[in-house]
Order: sequence, then structure tokens, then C-alpha cells
Amino acid sequence: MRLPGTTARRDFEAFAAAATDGLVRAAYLMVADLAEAEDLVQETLLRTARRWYRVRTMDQPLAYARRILVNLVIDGSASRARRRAELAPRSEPILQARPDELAATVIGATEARLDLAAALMTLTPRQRAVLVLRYWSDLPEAEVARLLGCSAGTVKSTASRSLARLRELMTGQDAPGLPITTRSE
Amino acid sequence: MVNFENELRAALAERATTVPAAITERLRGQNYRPRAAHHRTAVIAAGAACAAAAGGAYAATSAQGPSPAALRQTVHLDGYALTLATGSAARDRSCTPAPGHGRPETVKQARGFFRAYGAAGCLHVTLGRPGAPADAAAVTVGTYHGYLASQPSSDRLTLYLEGSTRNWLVFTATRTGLSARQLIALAAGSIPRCSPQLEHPPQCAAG
Repeated sequence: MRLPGTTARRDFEAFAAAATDGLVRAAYLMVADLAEAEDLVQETLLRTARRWYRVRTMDQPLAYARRILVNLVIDGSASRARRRAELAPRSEPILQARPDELAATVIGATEARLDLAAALMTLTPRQRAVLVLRYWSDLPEAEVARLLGCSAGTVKSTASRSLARLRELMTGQDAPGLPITTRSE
Repeated sequence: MVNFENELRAALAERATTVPAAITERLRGQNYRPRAAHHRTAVIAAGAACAAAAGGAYAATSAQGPSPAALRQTVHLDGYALTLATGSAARDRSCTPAPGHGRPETVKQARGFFRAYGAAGCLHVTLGRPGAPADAAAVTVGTYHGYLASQPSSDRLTLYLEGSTRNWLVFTATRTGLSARQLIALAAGSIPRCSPQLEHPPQCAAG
């Protein structure tokens, strides 16, 4: 006879094995820091495990985990930014020291893609989450709306504004002096 | 705009491939202890039992006041939720109230450390890196492993509690009059019986 706890453990292990990779990559795209992404996904899995008795009965446990992750990304963005600012050398003018980086966006498709991903970090955490969930996770607007706790219309307008902003950045209209590493929360 | 959307998809996909597989493996390899049932009640009951064991160290302030459960304060120290002994309070700076300022503010969400003040004096609780001095003695603290170091010259007892792989909890009692057994009982009554942040209790491993 299989004990309930053993079954739950196996179910969770199967879930974690399938979901972890996608969660880590999504987290990394949202926060652009591997260590932070790992921390966030670990916390996400811990919280999911803590409620596994309920989550395992859901149609989409992954949606639950994604929601936790997105909330952690958005809610913890201010403290992460503060920590990063404290750890960064004060005398180092990060932005001015790399003035040519954005200009290089027009050179070569690969470089452009890399800069596009970097430009993503100038958006707010919520905007980044919308873009990553829409254009990397390929989730429909309604699903993104459920994850973020807002309407599909809000997702649509946020995505539209975020894309427009990114496009502005990539075409250099607003590029000079643009803070690549500074996030507006 | 469609082209730009495709460009964004490609950029995100390319960046996503740069995540090292080792991170995923590390995360998959952890024991998250999924819960098969909602057993908050069991945890509370176990905590209360431990608190009763620790009662000799931190005496209740009044036998006729509010119920002991109502007096027990929970302090969140990063990922740890610690329940203090009856009648004791947590503060971030000094254990003793500043003169003329009435009742000092207590701490609910500590950052890195806090001080617990009760009838037995002041206890410093902090997060530390995993590890204990070589001369510390291995002890059992409730459902966890711990190490106890004693410095009789300064009347100090330090209990290192094996927590997560990232940090341990360190209980330091200086000139409190607590014995080693009392400090262990006090710590056992403070920590949760099963917590995802604490990875070692064997009782929690079955889910």
C-alpha cells in the first residue's frame, strides 16, 4: 500500500522535474541575474511544496507556481534593486562607463538581440513579466492576466506600451544616456 | 510591430538558453518536502509542547493574565518563523527598554538578527553561515541537529542550529543563567517543527 505522503512526494518531484527548467529561464529573463533567478525559483518551489496538498488537485499546478514566481519578482524588485545598489561600487559610473553599448544595437542581429534583452531591464518588473510571459512563455493574454491578477485588457495595453518603449530604445530615439541597469519600479 | 515582436521572441529565446543547466539540476535536487495534508494544527500542537518544555527557562510573567498562547510572539527572521517563549519579546537593538520611553517596540520582522528578552535575560538570535566551532558538542534540538559551544569565562552559551544550506540559526545566551539544557529547550520551543526552510528534521521528510 502506498502512503499518501509518498504519493504526494512523487507527484511533486515529477512536477518539479518538469517545471523547474522553464521557471528558472523565465525568472532569469525577468530579473537578468542567475543567482536571483535561482533564489526566486527555489522560493517558488518551496511555497508550492508547502501548499502541495491543495496545488496537486489543481488543473494546472504550473500556473500556481508561475503566479508565485511573478509575485516574487514584482514584490521583491525594490529590495533587490536596493541590495544591488548597495553592493555596486559607488564610484563606478555604470551607465556613463558604457556609452557605446546601445549604439551597438544596430550592428548585427545577435548584438541587437542581446541589447534588446538588456533594454528589457529598463522596463518595470510588471512590464517585463508581461513581455516574458507573452513572448517567451507564449501564454495567451487571458492566462497572463490571471497570473498577474488583472484584466486581459490591461495585459494587452501593458504589452503594447512595453513593446513601443523597447522599440524606441532599439531605434535609438531615446538611447543617449539611457540607464540600462537602472530599473524604474 | 509584428517583426519587432518576433525579434523580441528571438532575443528572449536566445537569452534563455544561456541559463546553465547546473542551476536547474541544483534546484531539482533539493528536498522541498511537499505536504500531503494541511497539518498546521499538528505543528502548533508540537510547538506548544516544546514551549512547555522551555517554560523553565523563560518563565511566564503572570499565571492569571492572558493565556500563554496569546503572549507568545512570532518573529520572522528571513525565512525562519520563530515563536518566542511565553512572556518574552523580541527587539532589534537593546533588550532593555530605554528609560522614559515606555514600552519598547517589539520586532515582528527581523533583519539578520534580533534579541529576545524574557525573564531569563537577553538572548541574541542571529543568522549565521553554516558551521560551528570544532570544539562545539553535537546536540539534538527538538527535531533538528545542533552544536553547543560554551565559554565559561564569559558565561556565554552559543547554540548553532542546523538550518538551511545557506544559513544556520545561532542562539547566544550571555550571562543569562541559562543552563545548556535550558537553552536547548528554549531553542526547540522557538523553531517550527517542520519548515521548508529547515532541511534536516527527519520527521518532516515523509511529506
